[in-house]
Amino acid sequence: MAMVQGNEPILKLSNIGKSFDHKEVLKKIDLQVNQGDFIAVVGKSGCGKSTLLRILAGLEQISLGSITVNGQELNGRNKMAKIMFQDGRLLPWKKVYDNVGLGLKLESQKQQIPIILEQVGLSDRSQAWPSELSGGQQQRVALARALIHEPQLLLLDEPLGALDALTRIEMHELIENLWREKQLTAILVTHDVEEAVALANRVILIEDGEIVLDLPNRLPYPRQRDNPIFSKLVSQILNKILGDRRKSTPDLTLTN
Amino acid sequence: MKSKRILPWIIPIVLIGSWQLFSSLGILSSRVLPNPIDIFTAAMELAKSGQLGSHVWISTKRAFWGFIVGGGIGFILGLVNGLSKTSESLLDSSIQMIRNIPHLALIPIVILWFGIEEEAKLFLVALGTFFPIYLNTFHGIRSVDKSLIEMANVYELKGFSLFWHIIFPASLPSILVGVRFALGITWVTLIVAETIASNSGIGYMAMNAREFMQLDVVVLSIILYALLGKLSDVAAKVAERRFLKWHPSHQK
Repeated sequence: MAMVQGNEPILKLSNIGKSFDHKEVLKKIDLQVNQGDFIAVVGKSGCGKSTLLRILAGLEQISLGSITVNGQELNGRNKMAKIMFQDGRLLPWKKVYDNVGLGLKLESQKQQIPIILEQVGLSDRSQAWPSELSGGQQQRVALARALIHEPQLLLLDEPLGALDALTRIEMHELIENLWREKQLTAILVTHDVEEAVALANRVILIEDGEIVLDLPNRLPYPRQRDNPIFSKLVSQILNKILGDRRKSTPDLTLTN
Repeated sequence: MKSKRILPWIIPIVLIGSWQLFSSLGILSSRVLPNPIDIFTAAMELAKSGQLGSHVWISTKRAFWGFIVGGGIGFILGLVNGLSKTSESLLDSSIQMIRNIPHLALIPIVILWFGIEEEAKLFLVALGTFFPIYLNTFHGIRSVDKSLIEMANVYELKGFSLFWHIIFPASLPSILVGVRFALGITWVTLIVAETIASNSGIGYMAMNAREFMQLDVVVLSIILYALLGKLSDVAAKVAERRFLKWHPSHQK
């Protein structure tokens, strides 16, 4: 892992913009990511939050502005980041063990596979095919595959979107514990405001391609969902999202 | 479990049983169809003289080499065209043009070129098996999930390891479908080629027997072709089960 001195941001976005076929998806985004941050990016579907994450991973090119990674301009794929996709993207023809070991070159890294599988709670399924696993287990494999590379930045693209509510809470605990143990820096894209508040120490709301809210979240971990400050934060963000919607559809009335 | 094993055999056994019965009763004339026992005796005699073994061996060898040559070229061209757009635009439309010629229509010209020697059979079988394997390899490679390729890029797989870990296994189901198609075509081609122009092999055995009115040997040849065709299909299925263990359709 590359070391960063002091409080220099490991990732810095200055005034970036992204357009697809003349349609602006992201505009004037400024963002600094510091070592140890857990940032949640929330927003309605189509607001550009996933595009932002793909830009951070270097999977999309920006149209405007600049991105610096550890002080250097990002060019091509972002090698300090590993992204975990919503659909897991496990290789169905490789067993769990080999999926986690994908792309590992050093023997010392391969020796980490059982340890990381243990950490995500799947040490007994290392010889299973992905199709034999539940959705939650598949996402744990995808998480293990990203973590084994010890990325300086972990990008999570709605990783729990397809899971049921109970599995999701389990996964929240897992991600939170791994983040603290490994002192990761993570950016989570989600449409679930509660998930964002439960995990992140900074919540960013994107609307129509712009950052409209940037809230620090200093609640102590592990977070209790019945904590009044927790609920207050959630409703503050939800009100911001819904408030804008109310303004945009003033004609809606009950009497019609 | 046991009844499931017996089930597929019920119809064949009943058919052969009634065939033998009708022949013995004289309802089915032996000039139309010799009875199963006669065919079995003919097979035994031919096996004893060594003719049966050598003809079957020759035909199997032809099928095997034709399949290897045609399938191999089809596989390589499918790979190259699947992976490279330039190669595809250069070669694919020409290949598609040739594909529209029924390969068995080439028999007269093949006889003129190669006579009735081994090359003629090899050429026809290879040509017949080339297309299904080419098409399915090409299609398999082109339909690899783009999101998996993107994922592989994140994990820094490039060049050969990208091919070996992602592209090849992803296209294998399609390639194996091509293999099964090609095996079917192999035997059809060989039957026609050996029947029309040959001096050895199962087809030759059948045509030779026809001249001497040995109907039992003719029917035996047909059965041999059926068995060999079935056998290669079983082999392809075993290969599918072996290589596609990960595929949900091959898991219990």
